[in-house]
Amino acid sequence: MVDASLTESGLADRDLVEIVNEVWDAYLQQPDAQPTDHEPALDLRPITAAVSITGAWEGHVRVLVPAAAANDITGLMLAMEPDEVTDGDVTDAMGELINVVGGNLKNRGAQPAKLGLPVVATGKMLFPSTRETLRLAIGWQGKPDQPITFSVLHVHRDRPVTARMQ
Amino acid sequence: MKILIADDSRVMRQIVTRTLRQAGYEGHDLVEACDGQEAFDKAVAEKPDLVLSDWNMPHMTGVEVLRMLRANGDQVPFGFVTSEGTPEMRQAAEDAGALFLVTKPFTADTFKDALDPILG
Repeated sequence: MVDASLTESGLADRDLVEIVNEVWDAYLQQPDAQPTDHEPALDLRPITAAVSITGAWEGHVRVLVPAAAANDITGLMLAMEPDEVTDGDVTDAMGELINVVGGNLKNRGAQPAKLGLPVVATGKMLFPSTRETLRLAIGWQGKPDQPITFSVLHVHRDRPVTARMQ
Repeated sequence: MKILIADDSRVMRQIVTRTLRQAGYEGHDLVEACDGQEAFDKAVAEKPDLVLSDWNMPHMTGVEVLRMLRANGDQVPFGFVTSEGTPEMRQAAEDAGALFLVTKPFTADTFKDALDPILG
């Protein structure tokens, strides 16, 4: 049985791949991203950046970036050497990265849809009552075992109602 | 020429600056604003020849900045650089008097198409 929540966004794997490749080309001046089957390397202090989408469908677009890769990417975006990059720079760059990927996914998906503000944190940010419906893991600088992992997480339609104050 | 770049993300202001250079628009005087209020204030004080503005910014959105400039009789050429180019936003931008709306991610070629008629 097809879960309605998997299709209601109107998004497919190719949407995520095309958008990430556009960002890699335009902002990082890198060749197309190389997909990998590796799981996120959580021992490498990943940075999470995420943005919510609400409207015709509800969910989050998240990226997990190993700390070293986040530093590299920030340096490329700011035209700085990686050792000059500060935590604030990484926060700004990762927030902008997920803002652009999320904004483009929102534009391609079911309408109406509204994009939230990006959030950035250290570690793997988890979203309760969601299911991962799209994933793209890509290698960075020849390290496929330390992937950058983009995910689209759908909020369950049948999520439990949270307790309310009376 | 003087170009005002308005975006709350320093990373994005840097990428816009780099892309302007890659598109061949070198030698222009660049001014930056990090929110909508600053964008409006600098558009008035610095009298730029072109404003490149994000849409979603603190204090005032880009389209609010544009509407306020036009309400004050300021006809500075104004374009948006935003990650959300829905038909409704394009219409709102056009209605407010914007010359173009470039969606992120953009390339040097995208910039040339939008800016050549103005900076050519």
